[in-house]
Amino acid sequence: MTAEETVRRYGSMVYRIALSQTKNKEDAEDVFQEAFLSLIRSNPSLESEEHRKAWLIRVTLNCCKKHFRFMKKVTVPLTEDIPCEFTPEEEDVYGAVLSLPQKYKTVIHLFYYEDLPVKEIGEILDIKESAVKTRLFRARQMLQPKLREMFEQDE
Amino acid sequence: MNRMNKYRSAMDKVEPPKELTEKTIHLMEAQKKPAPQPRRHGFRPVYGFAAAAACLFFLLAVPALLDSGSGHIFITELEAGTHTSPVELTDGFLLFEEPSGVFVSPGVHVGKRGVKEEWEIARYEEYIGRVVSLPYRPDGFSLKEESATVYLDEDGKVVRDHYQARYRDPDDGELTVSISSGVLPEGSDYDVPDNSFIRGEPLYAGYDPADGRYHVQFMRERIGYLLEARGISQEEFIMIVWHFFE
Repeated sequence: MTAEETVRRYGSMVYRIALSQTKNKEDAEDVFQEAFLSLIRSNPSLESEEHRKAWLIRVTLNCCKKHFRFMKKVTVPLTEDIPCEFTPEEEDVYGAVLSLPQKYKTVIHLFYYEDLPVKEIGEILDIKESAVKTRLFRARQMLQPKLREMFEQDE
Repeated sequence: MNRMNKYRSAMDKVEPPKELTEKTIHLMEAQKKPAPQPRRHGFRPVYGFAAAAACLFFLLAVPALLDSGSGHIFITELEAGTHTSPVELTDGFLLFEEPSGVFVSPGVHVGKRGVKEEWEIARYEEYIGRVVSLPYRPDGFSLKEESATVYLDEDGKVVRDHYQARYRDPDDGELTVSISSGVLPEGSDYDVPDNSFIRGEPLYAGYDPADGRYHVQFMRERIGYLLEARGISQEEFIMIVWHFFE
């Protein structure tokens, strides 16, 4: 797969992960670039597209961690920086997920958005399946009152 | 958790900016290119988006053959009168980005200070194991001042060091070289990822139109370098930078 094909195929995935982690468009763009350039520099031997996808997810998350060390301390409303139109419900849920602590929103994103099975999430994050399940359980617990409150306000 | 469908539909609307995608593809293609034949001048094959982009650039490009003294750097995409266009070297790629405008406190890198001491340049060179003089000095530039400052802890051990040299030419051109061991020197932009490379080594290149300042920063063999210049041409600045990678 050429560099262009790789970016066109996985660009959205990488950018969405980066944005969910950094909550900042500029930082997400930096991470996006770093992740794909790492692919060229490291030139890993990837046996399948699943491997390539998992590798990119892992590197994107690592780039985010690296980035956090020097990240700007800018507080902006979570969706203010996103150049797209959300419905009020989407904005509420998106904001609620992104407000979770790092490790919880990572598993939520990979499970609910990337549709990755628990086992694969564990392999990518280098944690046990049981730990992934625990994080998912706690993340849902944290989300439920927020989402319930948001939707009750609408009713 | 049916409400998570709303997270999915929200995320579906999030897409990377097109210009980011194109720039990243360009950088990847540039880094992927095989090393060129030494001293081979002329246009090298480029691939995919880089080829299309290059065609556009070539329409306005002013190819410049620069005498490097020990060879040649053929810049294939140096646009006359511009500062931030991508520049291809025989073994490198430079993208002079404009600053984002976000200031990041240098405090994150400054670290522990300690007792300040000024050292002789020779002593500092011995300490870092490198010669600090310019490997390539543009015509007319002369050294105006230089200093080597170290900070010592209670045991007399160096905890941080900083070398700086200022060069000037009669036309008010200015070049500043900063060096620190182990980290990028103070004054570097710590918040930017590398966007360029020379001879396979990554670096960050920037151009600030507000004051016409070029700058590059990079780590090489555990030494951090920050080169800044005003009042000189982009070609000349590239020559200076390139020679640090010889």
